[in-house]
Amino acid sequence: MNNDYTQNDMEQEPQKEERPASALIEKIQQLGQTNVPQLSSDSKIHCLTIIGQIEGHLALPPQNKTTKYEHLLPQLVAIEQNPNIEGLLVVLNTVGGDVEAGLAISEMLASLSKPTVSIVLGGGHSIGVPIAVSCNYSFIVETATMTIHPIRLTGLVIGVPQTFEYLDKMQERVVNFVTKHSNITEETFKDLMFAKGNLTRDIGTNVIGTDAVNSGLIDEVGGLGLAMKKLNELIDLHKSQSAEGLVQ
Amino acid sequence: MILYTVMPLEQVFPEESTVYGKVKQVTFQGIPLMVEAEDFQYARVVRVLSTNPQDFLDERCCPGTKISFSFLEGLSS
Repeated sequence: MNNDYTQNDMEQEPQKEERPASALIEKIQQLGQTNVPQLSSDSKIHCLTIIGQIEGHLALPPQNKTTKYEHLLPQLVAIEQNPNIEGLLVVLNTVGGDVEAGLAISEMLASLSKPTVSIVLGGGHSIGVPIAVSCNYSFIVETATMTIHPIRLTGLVIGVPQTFEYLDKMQERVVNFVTKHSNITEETFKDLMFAKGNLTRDIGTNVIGTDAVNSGLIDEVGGLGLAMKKLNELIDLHKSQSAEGLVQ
Repeated sequence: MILYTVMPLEQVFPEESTVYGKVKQVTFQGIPLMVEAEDFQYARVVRVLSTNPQDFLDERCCPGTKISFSFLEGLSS
């Protein structure tokens, strides 16, 4: 029986085109190392990477590195449903992008019942800000930056006051989301958003690491180790809370 | 026609639709991948889309590996 199983598994294996002799060289070329650590069990913490531009209704040219919401949303549904997954780590290095796609991802993360922790690495600009704050706890590395700026519109614009009102409403959605999910006040956030002189010839502020924490936008300065520790703490808390719920 | 603009070329002239079709999303033994067709038989892995960190350690589908089309599901065309 067992033998049958392994044989079937072997048949399922994809056939490599390359000879096994060159496999070592190939591995060095692909990963820069000869072997990667293999863990036997499935991970109880999943990791979502928000990288490049956040792609919305318009498909960006293939040379752009993008995060597509149609990829992320089903994954988030799967994470919510899978009982083996206990927590989610969100890693951000994004320049921003589509407001509605970004808000969709943020809302999905905020309404996820499992513990979530985000880390901002490099940059978490414009619409990356709501995604970063949507998690239960947020981290920013010391060197990372977040640009807070008013919403912009590309494409066809009709030059009527209603266009401005539409834009203003859209901005209000972002501001409301950020103030609701972080410790920053609406006043401070808007001050940062409409500040002059911080970005050359542009409106907004570029907050770096500790500044983001001081303004209340992000919870703590820290990297991977701290984020994983916090996530495990939140998972334990979540477990004990749900256990209490069962007793009652 | 001479076009005087500070806009980058790719923003003025839209990409041809053929370049979008090259990369496709497929699943390989439950792992969502972005692949690029290498030839008629093999696809090259461009990106791993999974949220499971263990899938990134799976050397059968690390970026750059060639996988036969017969092992891939979800190819639309």
